[in-house]
Amino acid sequence: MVTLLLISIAFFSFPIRAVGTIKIGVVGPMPWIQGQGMREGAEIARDEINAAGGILGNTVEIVTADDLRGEQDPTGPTGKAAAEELMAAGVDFVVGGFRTEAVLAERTVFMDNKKIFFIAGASTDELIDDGPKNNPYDDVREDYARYRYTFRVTPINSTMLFKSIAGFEKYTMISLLMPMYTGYASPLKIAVISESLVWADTMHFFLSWNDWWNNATVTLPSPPYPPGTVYPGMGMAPYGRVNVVYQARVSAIATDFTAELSAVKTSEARLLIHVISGAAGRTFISQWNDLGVKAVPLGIDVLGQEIPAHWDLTGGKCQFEGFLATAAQRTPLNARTLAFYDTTMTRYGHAPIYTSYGAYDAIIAIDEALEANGKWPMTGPDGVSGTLDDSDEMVPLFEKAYRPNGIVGKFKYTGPHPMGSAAYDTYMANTTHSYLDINPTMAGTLHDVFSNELGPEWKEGYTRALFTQWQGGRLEVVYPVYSTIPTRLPFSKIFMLPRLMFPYPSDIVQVPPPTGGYGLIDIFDALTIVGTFGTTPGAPAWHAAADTNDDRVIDIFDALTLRIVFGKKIALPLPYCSEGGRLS
Amino acid sequence: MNLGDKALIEALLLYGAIAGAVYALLALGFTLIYGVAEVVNMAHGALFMLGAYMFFAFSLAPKNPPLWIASPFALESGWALIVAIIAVGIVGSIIYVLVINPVIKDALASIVVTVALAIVFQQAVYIEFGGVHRAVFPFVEGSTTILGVTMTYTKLLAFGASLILFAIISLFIGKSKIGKAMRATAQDREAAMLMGINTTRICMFTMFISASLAALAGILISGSTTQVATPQMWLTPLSMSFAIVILGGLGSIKGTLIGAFIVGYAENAVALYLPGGSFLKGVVALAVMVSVLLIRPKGLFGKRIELEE
Repeated sequence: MVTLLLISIAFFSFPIRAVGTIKIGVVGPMPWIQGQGMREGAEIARDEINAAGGILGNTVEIVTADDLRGEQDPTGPTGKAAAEELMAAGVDFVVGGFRTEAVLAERTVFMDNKKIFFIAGASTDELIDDGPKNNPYDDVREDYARYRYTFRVTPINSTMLFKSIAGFEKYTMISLLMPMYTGYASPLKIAVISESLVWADTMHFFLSWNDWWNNATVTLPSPPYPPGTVYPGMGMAPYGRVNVVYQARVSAIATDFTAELSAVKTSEARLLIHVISGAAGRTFISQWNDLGVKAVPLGIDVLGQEIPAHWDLTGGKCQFEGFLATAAQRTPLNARTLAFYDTTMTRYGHAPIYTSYGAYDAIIAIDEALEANGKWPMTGPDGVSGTLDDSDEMVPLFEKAYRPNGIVGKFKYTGPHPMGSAAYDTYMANTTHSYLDINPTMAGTLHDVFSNELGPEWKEGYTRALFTQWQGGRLEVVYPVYSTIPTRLPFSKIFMLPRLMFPYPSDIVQVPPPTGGYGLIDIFDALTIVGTFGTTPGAPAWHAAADTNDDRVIDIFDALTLRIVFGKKIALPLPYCSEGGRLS
Repeated sequence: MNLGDKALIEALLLYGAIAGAVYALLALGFTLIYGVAEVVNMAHGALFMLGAYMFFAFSLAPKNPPLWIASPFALESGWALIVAIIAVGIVGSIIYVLVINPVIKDALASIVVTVALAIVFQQAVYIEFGGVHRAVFPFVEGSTTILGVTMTYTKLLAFGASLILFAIISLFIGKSKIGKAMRATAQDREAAMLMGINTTRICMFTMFISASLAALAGILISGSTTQVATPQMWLTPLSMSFAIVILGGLGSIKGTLIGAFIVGYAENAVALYLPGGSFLKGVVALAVMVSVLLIRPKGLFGKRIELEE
């Protein structure tokens, strides 16, 4: 009896694992779209790999763990508990992690167990590499020996995210907002509203800093940066400057933005940068519309990526909201993107979001790396398979991975090995790049997703944040615009300012001065309606600007609207006016 | 922006008043059940959440069907509102009889069971509706400008409904026969029983009103702010209700009204004048509550129960 008891204890004390199985843990806020996306992406990858014979003959199995607590839910498990749950389940790899606050706890457990962790949701620099910043968190650069089992597959880090936001906004301000509202003669007023979470701290700091917007270079504050750290700015001064007239940090669980949006309205800002990853984003954009704020919202709204739910749940109030995304509605970045999008739609009835793409591709990358290596299970430095240091044999496999056919662009990790690397020291001593820039010549061992393009062109094709916009019920890519100038990207649509910001709804030609534009309702507007007549959103010829009454079809009513105001001239720049909206 | 900026002052006056009225509606049910039955109902926020979900379930949006109610049950918004309020009221009455009443003499036990109920409701909603957002569309769209401040119609509706309901509840308690029984129960439960009042039934009825008010608040507030229902949406209203009734004095309707306005103005002052710390507006409201309690431990209106005429 005692023997039986001991056998039972031994049996149930260790994770049960089928022979020939590779277990992949997926950790995230499972009831939410971020965690849901991870799970769905992982399931699709699992099924594809298993249908093709598994990884080296081993069947892939997915184990999920929920780390919801920390948001607003006292009943959900913590990040640490979720990570321990996965360890108890005997997972071989882990994919996921959304909230930085939870990921920090999860990372500790995974690093203690030398478990390779592919982050597919959290953007905070500190999780991988925070450059020279002095903060309480160690990372792959600062403690490679401990943290080398952490990689990030999506999204690009917070630094690249805010640079991506600023890059598009600079383009938009110079080409659209400044000619409309300032004539480059006075500062353009902008507002920044960010949620008060770790991942948004760096973004909010830069995006609400006038000097960074206006100057070619700025000196970063010390601390947290080393004294005298010089950093490139956005250089808006030659265009008449930018003035951040309002900035707010709001709760991640805020349920009402009336006061903040009212202040934005009063401030006469014409660009509203919103940085929100949680449920509050939906409230924010609905109230922005309800209050008629004449500032275009461009930033980050993770829930905005939910296709088609965001449009339906806001009742279309997200029309012309713009934000960063990995891809938009059936964006043909490559054949794999489309196939994955269609599979997700078919299986789950909605589109993938960035965590779906990330989790899917992380698992495909595991498959590719192990298949290329031709060996499973691994054997670590101790020469014995099944021990903690087995991961040490796998880390270099992923570090050197170069995947030209990544799901949303070419994929590789940043690098090089930070500790004691002569090449790195030489680079840092001689580079004209700042610390926080990604060096395009490096590859490998800093473990962050490599991204190197911010402008209107996407030439090299590495993963980057795309700027997307809701137009007529569809989420469209609006930036980058070109593969190489003037070759237009086939999926990129023309960016629209909210109609409220125009003097006339039918001033539809979105070409800035001096080649045409806002100053006159003319034949170009008429030709746009003729050229798009009868189309609906999603049609190749569709142009949201021509749908003057926003009824999602370009028809005779739009033509009649144009007829009423045809030939009218509008003096530019428009005066600032916080109320009203139509100058006509 | 400076403190004397006229636009900001106007915004504060209006937004503070509206937030105060809406919070008052939220906290009224909470204070009512405490005043009559001495139950600190920690499930009040969950009833708020249930209200929003019931409204969603009975007023189907074509593209967003719930998981468990077939479309023939779809109702116009007005009817959906009434059905949702009554349904949640009945749920409140049932939980009073089955769960709260058996432990009503033990204040701590009633707190514990209502916390447990809140979690049960949350999990039930997770199971039935999932964690995804569900639409709670506002009754009226659009906005208007008052004193140069833009205000949505749906917030004005919530403001008006709150004030009207406060007046109705006050009249009901002061003038009606049931209201008198409620007051008697509040003042001395045993004496009321000796006078022939079925106090359990009165408390159950009070819970019905309290739960219905929570549901109405859930529908109106969600419709005017988040415009969605989520399973986690009960915590913030619960903490706000708690802060308001503690500030005003537990069981005091007048105190609830005034406490709600203090919290509403405090929150909006932070958002308008200290936007960099806007995420602290909930904390500031709680800090105001603590400050008042340090000076006046029983809240602004010191009597524990204030349901007299």
